[in-house]
Amino acid sequence: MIKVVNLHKRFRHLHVLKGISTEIAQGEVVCIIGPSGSGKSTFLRCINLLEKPSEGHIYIENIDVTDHSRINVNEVRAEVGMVFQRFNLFPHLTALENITIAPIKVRGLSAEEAHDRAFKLLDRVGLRHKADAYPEQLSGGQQQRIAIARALAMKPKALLFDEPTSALDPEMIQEVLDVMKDLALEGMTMIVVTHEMGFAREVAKRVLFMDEGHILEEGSPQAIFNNPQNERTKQFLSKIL
Amino acid sequence: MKLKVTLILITSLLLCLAVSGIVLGEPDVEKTTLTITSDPSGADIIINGKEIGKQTPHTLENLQPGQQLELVLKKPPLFKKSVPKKVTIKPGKNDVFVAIPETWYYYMWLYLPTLLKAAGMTLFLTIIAVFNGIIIGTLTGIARVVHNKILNTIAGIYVDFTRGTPLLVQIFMIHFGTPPIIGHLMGTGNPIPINPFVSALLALSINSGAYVAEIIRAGIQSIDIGQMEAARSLGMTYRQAMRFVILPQALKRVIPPLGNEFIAMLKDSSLVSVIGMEELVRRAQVIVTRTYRPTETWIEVGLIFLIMTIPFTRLVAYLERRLKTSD
Repeated sequence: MIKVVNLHKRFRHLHVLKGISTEIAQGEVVCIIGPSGSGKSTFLRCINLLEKPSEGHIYIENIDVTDHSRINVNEVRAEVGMVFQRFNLFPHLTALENITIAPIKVRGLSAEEAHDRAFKLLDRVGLRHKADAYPEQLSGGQQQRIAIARALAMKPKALLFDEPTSALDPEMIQEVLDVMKDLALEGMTMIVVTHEMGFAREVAKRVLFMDEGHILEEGSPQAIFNNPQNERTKQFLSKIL
Repeated sequence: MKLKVTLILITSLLLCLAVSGIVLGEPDVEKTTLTITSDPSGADIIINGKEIGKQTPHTLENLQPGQQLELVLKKPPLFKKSVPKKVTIKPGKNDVFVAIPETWYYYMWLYLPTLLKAAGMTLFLTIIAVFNGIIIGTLTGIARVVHNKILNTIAGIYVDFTRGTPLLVQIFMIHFGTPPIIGHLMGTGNPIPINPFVSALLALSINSGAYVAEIIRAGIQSIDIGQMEAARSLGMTYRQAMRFVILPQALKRVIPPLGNEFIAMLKDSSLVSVIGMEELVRRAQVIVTRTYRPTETWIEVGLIFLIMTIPFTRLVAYLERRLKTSD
């Protein structure tokens, strides 16, 4: 479903991604782990073109989204949802409006359709009673669940999570992971950059270990966590597990 | 018939007068009158300690020559009473003029209406200039942040030029610098003078526009980059993200600094007095040349400015406090 071929990203003199190639199947949940500065987030941001790849190709459902002459970047982004570390909810809008604004403005849904959709999603993340609350009135965990609902409201083909629990208080992490787990079970294609090894082990079909702009190792969670082959992977896992 | 009645009335009146003259033993054909005028008029007249319920100018009749009157004019509260004036009534017409001494506060009271009217002009000029400034500035501010090199450059030059040169110079450039150009363009070769009001409004609007542009730019750039990314990740175009996500948040943050810009413009608008635009400062200059009382005049002008700016200063402080709590 998503195919990445020899992806490079440079910021001036900084070479962040040095040839990433991988393929993500429909309904697959892929967790990306690795130390800070390894290019995990940049990789994720390249997939929905928040960062413009310097070199290489990304295919989403066999369409080369790096081909700007043919592709409308906005349409690509509408198909690939993103959940951010710092939630990035719109503070001037209520939870409900946060969820409905993109379907109304981008997809052209009527207000009623968007509301129906939003309330279903609010039920799904267990926050129907917070529909009229503003982000500042919500806890971090609640904000992140609203952010997931907001991404889902666009009915994306895939969801990208950029360290979705890293900015949360420990007691709020689980409620967000639970929502993500449900999504995985429903067959959503997900790419998750995370430090939650428990989640990766339990939910991921595949784990990628990244360091210094390369994918050093990939495989099933069991293979990566229990029997890592690469020295760098071993070193990283020994420090965090 | 009517004429007859009037005639009878007049004759009887004359008769009465004559009789009274005979009774008092002082027959006088010419009436003795006293006309009291004052500067300013409209003061209450007190004669021999008794208010007569009339205001200057007023003519008293039926007075006897040789009568001694003590005349006082009563001014509105706050104002010193005029010095009492002793008058000995002469036969015939008496004219008394009483000037109320010009204490400093009386002087200020006297010119207050004129100055307030001029302050109205200052306020009007400022409101229109800042309104124009907000329109120019919003467009320029957005032009400075969008991803378009040409727009960035044009807006940048405008802002840098306007903020980097004195407002006074800009006023001169517009009022004295452009008439030859307009004349040239119109083909006459003679400078075409611009109405001071038009020059003043133009200069202040352009100046305000540049400062507002910086306020708007700062407001937009103060919004967390994550907001734009979140909006874009949902498939919004740059324009949609600006309109529905960034600008609503930025405009809220921009309100207090815009209030400050208004206050600054209210004060800076005084510079247009140099091209003869009749606002508060210019008006005061004219008054001073006539009255030679610069101290009172300029203190009064300062106070009027203060009265105009204080409510806005307070309002801005209030808005800042409110925005802080909601952020």
